[in-house]
Amino acid sequence: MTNHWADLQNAKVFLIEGSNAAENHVMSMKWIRKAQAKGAKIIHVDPRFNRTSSIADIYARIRPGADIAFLGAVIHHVLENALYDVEYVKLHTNALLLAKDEFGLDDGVFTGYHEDKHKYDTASWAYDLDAATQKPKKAASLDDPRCVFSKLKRHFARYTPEVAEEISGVPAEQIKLIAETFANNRPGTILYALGMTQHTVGIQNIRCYGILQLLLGNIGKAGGGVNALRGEPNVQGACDMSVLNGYMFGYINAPNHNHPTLEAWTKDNGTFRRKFTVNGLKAWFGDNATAENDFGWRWLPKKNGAKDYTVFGMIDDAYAGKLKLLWAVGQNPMVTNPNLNYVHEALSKLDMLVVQELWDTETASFWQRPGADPKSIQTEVLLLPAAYFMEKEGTISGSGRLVQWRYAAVKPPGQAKADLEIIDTVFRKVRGLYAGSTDPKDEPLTKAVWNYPAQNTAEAVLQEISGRVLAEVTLPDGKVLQPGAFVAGIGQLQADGSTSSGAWIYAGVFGGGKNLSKRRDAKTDPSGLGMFPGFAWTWPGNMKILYNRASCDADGRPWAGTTPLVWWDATEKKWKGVDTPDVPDATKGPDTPEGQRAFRMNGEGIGRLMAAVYKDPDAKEKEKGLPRDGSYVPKDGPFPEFYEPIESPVANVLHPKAQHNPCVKYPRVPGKQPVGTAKDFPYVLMTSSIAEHWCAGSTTRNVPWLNELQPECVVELPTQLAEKLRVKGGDKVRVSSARGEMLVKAVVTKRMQVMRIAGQDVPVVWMPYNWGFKGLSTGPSTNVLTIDAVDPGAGTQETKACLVNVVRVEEAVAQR
Amino acid sequence: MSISRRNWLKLTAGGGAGLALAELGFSAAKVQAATGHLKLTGAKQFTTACNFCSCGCGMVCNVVDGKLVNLEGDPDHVINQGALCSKGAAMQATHESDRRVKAPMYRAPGSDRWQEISWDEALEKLARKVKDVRDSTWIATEKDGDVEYPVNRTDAIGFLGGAQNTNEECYLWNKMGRLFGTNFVEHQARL
Amino acid sequence: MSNATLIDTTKCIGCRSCQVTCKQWNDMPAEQTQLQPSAGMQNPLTLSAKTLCVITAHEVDAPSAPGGMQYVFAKRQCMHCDEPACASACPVTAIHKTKEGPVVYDESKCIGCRYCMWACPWSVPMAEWDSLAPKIHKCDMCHDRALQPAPALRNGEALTGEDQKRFAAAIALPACVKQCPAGALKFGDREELLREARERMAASPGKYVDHVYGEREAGGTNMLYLASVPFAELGFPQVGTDALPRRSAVALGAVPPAVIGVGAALGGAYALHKRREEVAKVEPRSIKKAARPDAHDHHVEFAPVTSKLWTPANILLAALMAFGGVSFVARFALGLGRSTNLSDTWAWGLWIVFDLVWIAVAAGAFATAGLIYVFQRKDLYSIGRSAVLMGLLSYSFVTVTLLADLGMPWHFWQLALNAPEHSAMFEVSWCVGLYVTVLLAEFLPVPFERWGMKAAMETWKRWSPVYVVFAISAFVYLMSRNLVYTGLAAATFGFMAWAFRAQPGKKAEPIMLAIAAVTFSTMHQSSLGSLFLLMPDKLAKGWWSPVMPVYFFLSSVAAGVALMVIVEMWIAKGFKRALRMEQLASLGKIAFLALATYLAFRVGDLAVRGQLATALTGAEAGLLLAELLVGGLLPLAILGSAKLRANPRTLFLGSLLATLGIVFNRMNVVVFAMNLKGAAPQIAPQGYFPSVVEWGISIGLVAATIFLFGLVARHLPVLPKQEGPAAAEAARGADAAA
Repeated sequence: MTNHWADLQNAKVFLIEGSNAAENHVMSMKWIRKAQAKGAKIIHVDPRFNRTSSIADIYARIRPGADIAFLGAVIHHVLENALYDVEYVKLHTNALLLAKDEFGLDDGVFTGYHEDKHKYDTASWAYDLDAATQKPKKAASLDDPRCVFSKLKRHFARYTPEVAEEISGVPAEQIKLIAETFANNRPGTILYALGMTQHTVGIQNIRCYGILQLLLGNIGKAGGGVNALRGEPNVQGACDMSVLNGYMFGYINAPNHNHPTLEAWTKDNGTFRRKFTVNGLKAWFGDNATAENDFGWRWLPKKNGAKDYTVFGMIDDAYAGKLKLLWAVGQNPMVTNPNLNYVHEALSKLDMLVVQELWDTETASFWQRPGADPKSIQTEVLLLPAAYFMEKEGTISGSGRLVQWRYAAVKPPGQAKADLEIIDTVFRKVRGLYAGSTDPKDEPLTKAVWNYPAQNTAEAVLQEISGRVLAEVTLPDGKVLQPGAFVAGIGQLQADGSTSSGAWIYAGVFGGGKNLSKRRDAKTDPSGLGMFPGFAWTWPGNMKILYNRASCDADGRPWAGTTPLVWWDATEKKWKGVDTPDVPDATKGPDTPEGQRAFRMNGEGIGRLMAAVYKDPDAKEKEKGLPRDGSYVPKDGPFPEFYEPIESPVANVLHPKAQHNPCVKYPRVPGKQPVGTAKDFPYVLMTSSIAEHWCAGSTTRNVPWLNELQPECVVELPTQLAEKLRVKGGDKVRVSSARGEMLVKAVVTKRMQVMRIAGQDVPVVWMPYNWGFKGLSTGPSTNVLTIDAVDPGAGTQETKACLVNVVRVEEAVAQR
Repeated sequence: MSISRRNWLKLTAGGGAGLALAELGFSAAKVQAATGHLKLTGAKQFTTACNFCSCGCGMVCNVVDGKLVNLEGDPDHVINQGALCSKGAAMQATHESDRRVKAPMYRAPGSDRWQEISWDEALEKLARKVKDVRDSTWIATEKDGDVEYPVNRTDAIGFLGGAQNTNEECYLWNKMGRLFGTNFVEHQARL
Repeated sequence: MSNATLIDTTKCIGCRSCQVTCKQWNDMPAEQTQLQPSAGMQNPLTLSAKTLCVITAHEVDAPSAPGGMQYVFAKRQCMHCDEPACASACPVTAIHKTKEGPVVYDESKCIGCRYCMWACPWSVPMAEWDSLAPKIHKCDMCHDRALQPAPALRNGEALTGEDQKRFAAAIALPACVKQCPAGALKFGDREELLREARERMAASPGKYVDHVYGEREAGGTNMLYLASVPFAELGFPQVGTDALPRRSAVALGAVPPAVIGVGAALGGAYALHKRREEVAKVEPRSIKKAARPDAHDHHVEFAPVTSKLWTPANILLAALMAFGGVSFVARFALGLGRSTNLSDTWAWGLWIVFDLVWIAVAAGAFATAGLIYVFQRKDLYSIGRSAVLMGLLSYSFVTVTLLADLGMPWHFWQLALNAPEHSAMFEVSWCVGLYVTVLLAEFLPVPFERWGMKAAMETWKRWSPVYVVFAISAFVYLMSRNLVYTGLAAATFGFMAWAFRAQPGKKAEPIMLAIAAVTFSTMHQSSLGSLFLLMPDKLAKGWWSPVMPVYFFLSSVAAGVALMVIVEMWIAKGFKRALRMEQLASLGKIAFLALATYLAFRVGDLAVRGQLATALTGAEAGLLLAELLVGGLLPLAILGSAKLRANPRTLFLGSLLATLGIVFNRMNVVVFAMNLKGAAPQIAPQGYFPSVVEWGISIGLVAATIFLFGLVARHLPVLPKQEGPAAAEAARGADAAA
């Protein structure tokens, strides 16, 4: 979330699309209700009328996978009717920057496409740079046809409400109403979740949100923002801690094979991030990491740049017999991964599977899966009993980036141990096995710092994450930091190895030697905006609203008519505010380049309507050819473009030649990843979680109270479809896809509908995915049906849209 | 009849004993307070945060003699202000559930059942496996075109999970994975 | 000032946190549920002893709403009535309304009668059917949370006083309210919440229907609802605006003065008749009625019957008794839930029907006692003993059935400790209990006579009137808790006992016992009707009436007398004795008068309430017609004719029809005309057919009554002494001639 949970109360309008917040992020309602009581409007866009829809002022039924068409039309309407915030757009976005002339889109494919590799060469997706400064040229007005804004307008010109209606099923008039409602009530916030990301166009779906909110000036303001309602208790923290193949030390890119040195890596990633990498290496290797040995750079494993290291890569490698040992902690892929029959085959080929869990799960017992023959599965399996959250201590970070300490209230049952203790023990054991080794390959193990005390282990690790002063540091303001002190924040981190921080974005959580995540002042809210700065600690730097510099104009004054968050205090020469100002340096005012970088993590320092290729040349080591900073460019285009899901009942109305996202390669494993067609599988299936069961259901399906609420897996059918299939509520039906089939009971409801898409009837059905064959409540897993095609950038599976057939069980039997 | 009989009885003379009896009868709440068991008596509170979605709702564990007697929303929390959803409200049941795995279990190749093993044995098996796989699949260098790069990794070990763990666990999990040499370090970020 | 919860269904998001929280705080187990195609995502279908709070989901068509529909969620739990029918029903105050608002339950008092389940207009209190000690469960507004101690330690640190106060205040909220994420529940002072409800309605015109459910329902509740659709669409029943306890309060409030009044009237009638008798002795011809052969019958002698015990019929009865015995053991070994087919819908079943029927038809005992002694119908003296024995056995076994029916009969002593305000069940329990003792006292002379226990007889003569004064006074005290009433009762009955004391040398008449018998019977026969006054929403209009107590009493007299005719005829047949047709015809005439009075009253009541047309054309018209025509007018016509009364066959038929008519009435009241909707929310009413154990106990006890009657008649002087075969022959001849 750019903002945070309690900030939802400050919004005047909500666009909730790709989220069933009322069911899956129930507590959001506490704050949405407060905003609603003050008159805020709620727009809910979803294929299924659900409990969130029940509280909406506008409900738009959309076909699964058609979000870019719909949002494109909303953006179109905002652009065509000049509903955007001109001043904000000019100041805080790249609207005025000139883009390369050769950039373009043809038949749904951007320039630079290599069909054989399913990849783009992104060279043309760049700014027109000034030859001398290597900075983008800037247009005088938004009307300049070469500027990003014009390109944006041109791109979305095709997304008329009428075209969007044909693709998405949302009536054109309603699209206009939504655009106007959202644009004319500011600040407006956007809430989304996996409904938006679990597509082969997941990143571009969210890019639409970024563009829309930048156009409306809603980023950086209280009650605004683009807010990802994340699905798991510490999915935010796990990402922050780089439990993601591509990251290290807190969203710092992990090195590829072509980064043999830190300098090679810096060339691609910039000096700004190199500093944090050095702090991370110092945290890991301590005194063994020196400037001379490149801070131990060689001890980091370098990825093969062409290889897929996501969970899908793991499954594919396991199936190919390359992955030997899989160790799962609190994750149950045998329920949550798509195309489960294939996942099962892949797991069966492992040498060893280790599962650290509270319960015996479908993954731990995959060899007991109904229909499987245990004798033929040679995988060794270890099931290690883990402690649950109330039985151990440590921090978690919610969607709002609030890092909270949890106290251990009770002892774990039986011999169960906290994961922290298990991980610590295993590492020590493995390192013990390498004791005395002189093989360079074993140096990462022997050189690493790993000596956490048995008591207060979690707090000791948090100290390492937060960061220490290793050698005396003199700060620009003359303050001297002594070795052994804890760093107070990101600003104290040094590039030369005199400080360490395991995850720079968390620098300061142990600031001043105090565990700030333990703070519990829930009474002090000076701004009245629900920020509670004394409650726990929010990364980065206890900042509640990211990009809050954008809430001010060029002079550092809050935009007229908005709630002041931060401002430039000309007398004190300092950025001040009710929130931590999101500026590179609080002492650098609007008259400096730093004082205008509202989006300081980008190379260009401004919001990006077009995700252009750009590296900021302003590095100290310019002469070495090192950039200061780069910007992330989506693999599949600088602008969002609508593509049909891999399995779709209709042809792409916008560009029949580019039916799907051109960057998606599917099937990856021929024979194991069949693609169904509308002829055999005429209905669109969307899947999701429900309020009463969570994810794989490993925990919730073992809680009798929750099984009482939702006892079994179902398929929800539109009334019209059920009539056609002669299915009554409670009847068993067979749902099948090209990848699998299952029997479930049908719920017949008008909350689902047959949609009218591109001139044809498209029935949409829904299923929860939370069941499996283990636990107190057992049932077939919906993910045997779903498709494991993934977004090319984020690697999210397309579990929100695939094709299925539904048949009454008697007829299914007769067909055999 | 607008006057209840009890009031009528109070209004009229007499009925002393009956009145006393009646009063005792109608203040069961007080009787319960005096004699009954109140579950929070002597409870120590510990704060924690929910382990489902990412709202991060605060919870209070009330612990009496090491037993979790009640778990509910923390009224002093800035996100949930005492409230919880159905899943959060049900979490007390997970701690003492008889369905929890309480000892390390092992399934041998081709076996159709679990067998209980000791922690030592389990972690020894795991550590040895890590070493065996790491040593036998180590990739020291890799060629890209004409250039041979030092890569120092294994692609045969996969680490999966973290979204249900604490930051500290995630941090060590990632650190351990990369130190072992694998880049297959992933969690439920996409679920 | 009482606490209430405002439930704004427009704010509810259906997350069901309240439903789980309720179980979590109250340590309630989960139920095994299934997908409910009819109820959407709702689970379980209804409240139960394991589920005190449930959320219902409603997909309501609303073309102008976003998406063309409203998806509405409603929390269901105890309504916490301002004047709760359940508390009013409870005979032991196990359920009571606290001044803070909650209606709470105390299991240590509960006897398990389950009257609360019937009384509640929303069918909220639910029994633990799977328990050997089935307690009642319902939402108690978490009243124990307000009593919890404030926390002292948090995360190992002592809390400040201010923090403690804040946390204690949070804990004091009902668990559901505290954990509601959507702000749909608000707890506070009822009046303030009502004001807020109206403010919310005014602030959002068109959003809400103009109805705060609970503001007036059943006299007002402490659960207040706001909704955007009519409450009927959310399955909320219309329960009227009257506080239901007021229905029975009037009837039960009348009991203490009625005891005194009825007793005094009976004493007066006795005195009057005695006076007439005295006068008649002096001037026999001055009184017409003296022409009756009183004197002859007054000197009836009683003797044990000599007859073989183990007849085939008695063997059959013994077998049925054994079946009953086994069933009785099974009832307690298996528990109420497992041994019966009772359910949250059918909290009462066969046993209660049997009890109601049995008590009605056993009215013969008090009617006979009243006629013989109070109204000095000495012509009926010869059937007095059999009537009393029949009554004693019947009432004893009614008590046994009640023991079986009570969930926790071992708490019966709680009946003596508590003072419910206006519980018909409390009245009936005490009244029936005391009446059984009176019946026993009435019967004692029989064994005393049989075994020549002269001293015991003397003691009985002296002390039985005293016992009556005590029993009546105690009863009046328990019913009123008022010493004025108690004193008046003691004075009235004490005076009568003194006035009617046995005169030396004269044969003593058990007049005080007779007066007590009639008084108690009048009270409990009518109070059995009062039991149903709490259920105007459930009992069909053809039966429910504010004057049910009166028609229950009147009908019981008719049924009791009619049954005596049948019993006497059966005795004659069973023991091969002469039919005393004159006496039976005379009983038939009394039955006719009683039946006529009852029917006139009943039909008149229907007419006055304007229910005649509805009752005769509505859904239950068939039942009512069968009850009133076949079981009412037809026997009335038969018994109304002196000729038909004199014919054993037609007299039997008339009496049988009259009895069955009233039996049918009781069955209608409990079963056929009782529109039970099942536990709230009322979407899954359960069916009912008595289990083997239920049949076993009921049949076994009927068999025991008949068998024991025969056994006692064989050993004790219960029936008039036979005057020899010739006399019997002659009598038969006379009968035949008649």
